[in-house]
Amino acid sequence: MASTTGQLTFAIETFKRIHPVEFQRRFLSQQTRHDGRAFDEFRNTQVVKGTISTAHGSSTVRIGNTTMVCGIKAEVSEPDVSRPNEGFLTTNIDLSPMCSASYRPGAPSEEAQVCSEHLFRLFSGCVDLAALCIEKGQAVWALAADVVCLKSDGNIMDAAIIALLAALEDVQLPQASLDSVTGVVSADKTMAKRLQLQRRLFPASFSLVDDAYLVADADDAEERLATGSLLVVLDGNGKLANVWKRGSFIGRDAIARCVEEAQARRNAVAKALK
Amino acid sequence: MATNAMDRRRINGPQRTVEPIYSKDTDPFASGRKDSRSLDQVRPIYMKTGPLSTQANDLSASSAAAASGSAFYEQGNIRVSCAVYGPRQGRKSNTRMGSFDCDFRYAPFSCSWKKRSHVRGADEKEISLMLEHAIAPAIRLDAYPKACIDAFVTVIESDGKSATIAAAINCISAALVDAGIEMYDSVAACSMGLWESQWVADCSQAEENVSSSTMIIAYMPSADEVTYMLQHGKTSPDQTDQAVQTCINMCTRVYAVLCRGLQASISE
Amino acid sequence: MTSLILSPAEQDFITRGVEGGFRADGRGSLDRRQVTLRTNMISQANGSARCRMGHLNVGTDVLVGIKAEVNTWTPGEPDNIGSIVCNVECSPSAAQEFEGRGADELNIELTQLLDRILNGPQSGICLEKLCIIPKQAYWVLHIDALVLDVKGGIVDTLIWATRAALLSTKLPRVVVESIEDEDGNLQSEFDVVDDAEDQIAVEGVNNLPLTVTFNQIGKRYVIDASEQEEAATQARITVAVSPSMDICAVQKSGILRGFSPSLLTEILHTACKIAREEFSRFKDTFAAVLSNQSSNEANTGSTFLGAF
Repeated sequence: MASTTGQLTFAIETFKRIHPVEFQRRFLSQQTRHDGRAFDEFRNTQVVKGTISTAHGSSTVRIGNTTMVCGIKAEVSEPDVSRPNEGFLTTNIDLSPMCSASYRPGAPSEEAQVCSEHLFRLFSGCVDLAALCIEKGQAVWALAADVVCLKSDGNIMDAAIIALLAALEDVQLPQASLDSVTGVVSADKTMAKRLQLQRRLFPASFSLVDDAYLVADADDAEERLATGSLLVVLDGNGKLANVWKRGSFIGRDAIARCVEEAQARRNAVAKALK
Repeated sequence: MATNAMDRRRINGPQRTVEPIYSKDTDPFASGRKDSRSLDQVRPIYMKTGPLSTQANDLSASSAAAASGSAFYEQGNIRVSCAVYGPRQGRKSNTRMGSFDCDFRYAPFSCSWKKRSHVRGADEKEISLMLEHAIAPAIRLDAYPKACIDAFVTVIESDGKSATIAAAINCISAALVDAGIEMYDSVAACSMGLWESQWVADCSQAEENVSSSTMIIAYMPSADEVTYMLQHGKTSPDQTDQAVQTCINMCTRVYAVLCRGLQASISE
Repeated sequence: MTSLILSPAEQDFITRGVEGGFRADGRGSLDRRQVTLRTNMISQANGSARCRMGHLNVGTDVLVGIKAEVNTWTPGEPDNIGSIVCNVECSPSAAQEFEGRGADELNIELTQLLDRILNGPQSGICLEKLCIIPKQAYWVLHIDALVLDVKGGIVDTLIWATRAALLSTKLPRVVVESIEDEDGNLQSEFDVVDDAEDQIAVEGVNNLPLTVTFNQIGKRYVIDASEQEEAATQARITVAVSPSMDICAVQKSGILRGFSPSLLTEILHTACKIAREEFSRFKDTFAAVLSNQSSNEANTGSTFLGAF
């Protein structure tokens, strides 16, 4: 039996620091979260498009404190021999020590590599690569999309996907033409054409905290205790585009509930994107 | 025309990409400055400290991020973001003085010229050094023996190489204040370009391209000390003299803006 | 720039000396050490020089080699100018802390400084003359410097050596011919004349700047600091001055302190004053090297070592 004589009292900040798991459990067991949200509640999401003049398309996304900037630069390249009329789209995410103390400087961490790879797979069907062709077999646009994390406070995948989608929708490609004699591509910035996307993507992330509570849009403190996660991506019509589940077991009906919640989230994100 | 080295840890595009040739820009000074600034006017500054500061969520993170601070800085089109960690355990032990390290990066899409490769280039490494030399004289390094203070700077958008470096200096200054690092004074910096024997303050990239000489000065107004100076391009000694004086005056004005921004951040 | 750690007594000795106008080796605060110069000792290079500041055992030693190459023009590059590519490397044999990646930061700093001084109109080199055919071919001068020994004043030694190497650089002559192709268009072609006797100097090398590096110690400053003085230095500023007494570049380094604006102004004007003497000294040294070399032409192997 616990003796009451040795009981310690802490300030709430101290308790949060030395017993992070217990701190979260006390909230979660009461069906609420440490920032006052309900389990299925997402943080406030803001999207600003086209803020960076040096990029061809850009966006800034904030989900709670998590802040992502995405910039897309277009350059000219020779197409792949096997796909002479298709351009390129590359997606990379940069998780530098600037956004969180848990990242190290230098080459991309494994987490960043996994995220970049997943972004690339998600978006490879979104852009009509044939629309990036300037001259068949000779010159195509190569779009390099880079997502830079300014502040990481959980749920970086949602923020990255929304930022990338918003930046792609913002891309304006200059009118380009190939001079067949010199092989030089010249472009006119005043005659720009907006890039058309084949489909839009709407993400919703859920984390399994402490192996028992499935919460939407976990922040950094909750993510540290997460044992599993589920990323549901829907397309513009509400069809499932991708589901990415990592870690511990999540029941079948829980997944169905998440997909449903993702539908509601889709409308909110679409509204933020305008 | 650089070739992108294959890096398996990133999504790679085609091996070789080039910028298309865009129709030439017009003379940036053709009818006054494009944004109708006067010649000695710095672009409007917006600054905020702490928007990126790391919350101490558990012990490991809190010890790593103790007393860390951050700042976001805008000067016209230039956007710079910086996070400071420290004082934390230094890599070199047994030093009488703390060390200040800086890691400067351009985001791949931040430059109006060629897309930057992900690998840190020589210019980024040199700018990192410049920032260390500009900021370190302001920090009381003797108060932090065996410790190190790290600043991570990312340029989100640049407009004028020299002006971007000056903006980075201002941004780090603000982040250091936010982190509560002991300093003699804050460093304020500004840049100028020489165009047809006239010094023009805070040049945009288009203006810098046509200027024959550039200067960056970092200055501590209360201590009356120039912590950094870089001049590139031919000038007469008198012109340099004049530029140093003008730059110092502008730095003092930038300093006032920085202080006001910091005050606003604290009272929030 | 140095790993030397001074005791407080040594630091105090140097600081008070400098403030009083005395230096440990008997020089005045604006005096340079003995300079030894030697040119054209690398036969494969188009130009080369080795410069040592100080005496045989305690000096800074830099070797510079210049190799010229013809590059084909690619779209996006400037139409009608050649280019200069600099690289400075500190040999691990020069100092213990240069081992491994220890010299990386210094290498970058020196490379960018050299590039800033040489690449652009401020260097005085006529880059237009390095263009062979506009939009087709141009010369690239690869300037590679190797720092062999470091005992203070590395930047000034580097610039002395680079200036001497560029002055001794000879480019092969290039003959440009215009040919009419099948369509009747004029096409330019060029031939590099392979004749060691028929070579030309790089245009404008006489306008190259020299640098003066000031080390602030205490309240005063010295130029061409020795290793000990550099360890006592609080801030350093390098001023590059052209023969026309224009300032070409200024760069401050050092993490301990800044300069007061009045001292900065004084230093800039002193730099121009000193530069005048520096140029005449460089001219004399270089002329002496040339006359010396021509008399000993057959004996290069021994004179290379003999110079030091």
